Amino acid sequence: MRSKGPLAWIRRTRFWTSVFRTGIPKDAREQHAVVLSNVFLHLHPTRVPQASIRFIRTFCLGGISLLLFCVLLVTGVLLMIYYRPTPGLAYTDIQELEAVVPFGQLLRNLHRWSGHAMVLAVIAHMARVFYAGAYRPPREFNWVIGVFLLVLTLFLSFTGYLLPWDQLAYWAVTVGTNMAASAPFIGHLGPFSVVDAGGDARAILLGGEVVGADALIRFYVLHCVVIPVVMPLLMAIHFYRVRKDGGVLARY
Amino acid sequence: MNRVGDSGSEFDRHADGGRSDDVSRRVGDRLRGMDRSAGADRPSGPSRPWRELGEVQPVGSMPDLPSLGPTVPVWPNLLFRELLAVLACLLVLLVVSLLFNAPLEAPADPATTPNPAKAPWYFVGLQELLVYFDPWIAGVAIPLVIVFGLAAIPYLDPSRKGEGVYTFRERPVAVGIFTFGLVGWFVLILVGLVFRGPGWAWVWPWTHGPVHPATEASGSLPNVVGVPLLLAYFVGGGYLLLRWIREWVGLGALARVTFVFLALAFAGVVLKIVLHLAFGLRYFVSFPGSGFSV
Ligand code: HEM
Repeated sequence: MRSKGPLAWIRRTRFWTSVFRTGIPKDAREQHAVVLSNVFLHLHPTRVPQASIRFIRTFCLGGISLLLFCVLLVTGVLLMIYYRPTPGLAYTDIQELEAVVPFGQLLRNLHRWSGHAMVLAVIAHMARVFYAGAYRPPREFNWVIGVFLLVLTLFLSFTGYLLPWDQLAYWAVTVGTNMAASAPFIGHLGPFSVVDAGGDARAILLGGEVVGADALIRFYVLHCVVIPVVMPLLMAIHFYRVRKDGGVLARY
Repeated sequence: MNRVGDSGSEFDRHADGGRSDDVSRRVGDRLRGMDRSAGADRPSGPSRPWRELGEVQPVGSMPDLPSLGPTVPVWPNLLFRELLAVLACLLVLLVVSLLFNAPLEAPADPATTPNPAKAPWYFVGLQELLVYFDPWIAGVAIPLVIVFGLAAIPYLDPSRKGEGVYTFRERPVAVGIFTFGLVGWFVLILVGLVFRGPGWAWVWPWTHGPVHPATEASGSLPNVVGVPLLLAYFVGGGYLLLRWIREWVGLGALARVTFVFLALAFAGVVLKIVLHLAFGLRYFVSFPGSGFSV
């Protein structure tokens, strides 16, 4: 029997069926077809071991890390519209965002709290993978990719920390990047230093000896372009390997 | 092959029937999976309608299919759970963002240094380590070793025990070390975030001003004592540890040396913190000229 109503009619149009080749699945065959024919759902196989989708196996932590990354992408792109990365404008742009832009404060809050949450989620995900023993062969290298993702997540958060250009941002990043000045050999304060303050590791990071306009633009580019481009590449490999290695490890 | 008999050590991969060999065979099977007669080992016909849709073969995506137990279709079982998790997370995020505003302090002023100036919370643990170590150790060496050590974990743990379940009993050494590190990391963060005031002096969060004035630990060992002590720790201790873990079948020479280095570094950090807190120890060795002090 053909279902009636405008929605049902739309779902029968030639255009709709050209986009979604299967409708809401009605039988076992379509349940599998819908996963196979959609590029996003196709991250998954068509069937999974029942044991591996229990909540306690993953606590959804890898997926939550991904979700938070997506939230950060969306809110981050919107923030970019209102934000200019120069010492004269950055701070007032944030003030205006909060005071003038509709839902600007909410937008900023969402981005900020998602960022903190993502760091927590990724660490928790790593811990759960460890405690499940899910880094053993054949998953060793996927764990290594995960470690890179963790480091990038920290850098993503740290580079974003500077952008509001308030006292909190400025001094947190000063404290953090001062560490680079004490690196052995390549930091001017470190042991066996072979460089001066103008050419050491910190200067490369900041584009100068102190956090200033050059540091702000560097952090901005890293935060908005470099790291967000590299991370999805690594995630693609990460997810591909999760599947190829047999999905979430679960003892039956 | 089995040098320690049936001791059942956590690091004795042969004690559980050589599963590591299974793994390489499984991977080999997977690579050859293409020319297996398609699905000969699986029922076909109407009961497995997805067959004809080109389902990824189990050799490709699910090694050990039988031991993984019964499978269910991803739609709706997994996708429904994911949808639920997404909605729950978005709801929490939205509520938190409506309730709490992101901080925005006074505009950046290079001339006014707040005291204390704290790093973002996930780096405050490293900042707290500055109490015990010079910046090149706390801020450069230790983070590098942590990241390297994390990445090395799969290559240093040849055991096949306790996979796919949460267990302490089956792998006490691995779980013990990791948990100690993880908890330690967050304890350092907590201390740095909550209990450190101006000059990084200890404060109780419910009082005003530092309880203990910031003190510089001054007691350093003379180099004639410190240098041999450090050498003894890393060379002598390394030798003994290496001999001890030779019993752990399944680790190559490189992996053993790496493990010993990481173990000594980790224990060394803890040791130094304890000695600092107990005796005010500042340096084992100190060469002010080069800035190399440990
Ligand atoms: C941006 C960061 C990350 C994202 C988005 C991510 C995402 C995921 C997802 C969605 C899964 C599927 C199962 C699950 O949800 O647990 C997974 C599995 C896995 N992840 Fe991550 N991950 C990230 C970081 C890490 C880190 C830091 C590690 C370890 C150091 C790691 C190691 C692994 C391993 C070994 C698996 C396979 C687990 C298994 O088979 O049971 N990942 N990851």
